[in-house]
Amino acid sequence: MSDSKRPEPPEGPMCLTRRSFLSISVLAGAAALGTPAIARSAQGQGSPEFKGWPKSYGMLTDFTACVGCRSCEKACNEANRMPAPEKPFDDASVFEESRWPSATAYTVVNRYKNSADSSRPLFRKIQCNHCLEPACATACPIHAYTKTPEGAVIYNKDLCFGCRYCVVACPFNIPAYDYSSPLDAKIVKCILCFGRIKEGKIPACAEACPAGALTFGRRADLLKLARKRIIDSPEKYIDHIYGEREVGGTSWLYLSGVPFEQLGFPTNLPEKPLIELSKGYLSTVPVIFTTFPAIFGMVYAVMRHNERAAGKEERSKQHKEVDHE
Amino acid sequence: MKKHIEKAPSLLACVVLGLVAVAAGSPSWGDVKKIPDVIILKDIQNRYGPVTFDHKKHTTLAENCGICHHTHAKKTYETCGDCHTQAAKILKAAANGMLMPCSGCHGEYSPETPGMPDLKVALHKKCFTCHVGMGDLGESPMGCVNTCHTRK
Ligand code: SF4
Ligand code: SF4
Repeated sequence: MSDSKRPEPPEGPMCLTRRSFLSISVLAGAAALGTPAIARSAQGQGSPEFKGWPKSYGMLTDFTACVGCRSCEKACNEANRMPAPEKPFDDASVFEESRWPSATAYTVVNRYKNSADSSRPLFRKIQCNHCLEPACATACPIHAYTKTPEGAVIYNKDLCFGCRYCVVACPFNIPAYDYSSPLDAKIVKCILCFGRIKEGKIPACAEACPAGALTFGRRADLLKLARKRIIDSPEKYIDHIYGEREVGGTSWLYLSGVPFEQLGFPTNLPEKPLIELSKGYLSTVPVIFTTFPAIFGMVYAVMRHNERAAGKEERSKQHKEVDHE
Repeated sequence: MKKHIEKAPSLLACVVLGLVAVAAGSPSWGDVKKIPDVIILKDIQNRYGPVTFDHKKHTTLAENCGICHHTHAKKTYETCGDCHTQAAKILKAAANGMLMPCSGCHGEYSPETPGMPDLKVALHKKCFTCHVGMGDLGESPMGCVNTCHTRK
């Protein structure tokens, strides 16, 4: 089946309200008992030959160009209207520790030793890789995630009920927990500035990068561009475009002058999407993965049901008391 | 006395750089009247103070103009003065359409042409060719401030 004939992603998950989810969770859970969760893979993209939406966008990070100026972090902070960080963006002391994307910074830049040139360090910008077949989306029992035809993996914060399956599933350890409302924690992550893309702009980090280390464009064009850079300067780059194949491909691609493990990248990832691999796994051990969401969903629904029943009782009691008076 | 070109806070900086560009061969600065010594860039004055670019100094440091002005990498002139001492009209005709500001190609970035960096990236990349590794540029975000961009 050719890519162009792929169905448009359903609007469904975005329209679901949290309440309607709760009311159907028992049904969905029960359905999951009989059907491997994976059959409901992210927006129906779980087939082995799926190579991403045609003409989808992506980003190319060229680590040989990055100078560690943190302009991208600053731009991300401003675009997402986050509070100013404790240390200003031109403070190099943040490089002393290894940081990771969090609820207050969807992207961070870390400093690494440079094995190719000890006189200057290397920098790595970390954020969601916007996988072509996102494991986060597959793992999410309520389809809060959507892989958009534009390439961005977005999520509906209002649907998230905090099960953290996506956190466990993501091969890059990206979804972060926003505990700002302790009783209603939700995941957060980079969404490739989806709103800006829709407005015809480019992601804020790419717009801010002065060094040309971040290039936003069509993924297919970026692959050609990356390959050309390797061919033109074989002495400068290692012969690997990270993200071209890893876990079935990611919208975010990387070029480096040193092996990717030296920049802390996982280099033992399969080339097949995790969705694809977990299919086989699921058929052998379906119990855990398929019954878990169901049980979880049922417990949750029952709890809510009891809560509501208790609330109703309370209210009718009050009514009666009022009547009595 | 140094000639100062003060320019409006716009991407027109490049026009100036572009005009400066029509110089090839070994830079024979002395004969050239139309090239600015110092260019003051005020494009991002909302964030940083103006950047003072000592063009004259760079012409003595660079091996040839093509090091920075890549469209001049193909040397077709003996000296800068071959073009730059002539009247503007003749210069334009002689340059035969080659006289184009940087922004002619490096305009606003379009994701449809990811191989073409915008002006900001094109200029920074040129600076970084030599300046990364000088001082703390490439080590600390303060390198930007310490090298070119004064804090407001
Ligand atoms: S990197 Fe993780 S969070 Fe981002 S799309 Fe891939 S699986 Fe999802
Ligand atoms: S803005 Fe560009 S050069 Fe600066 S830290 Fe980010 S990726 Fe690196």
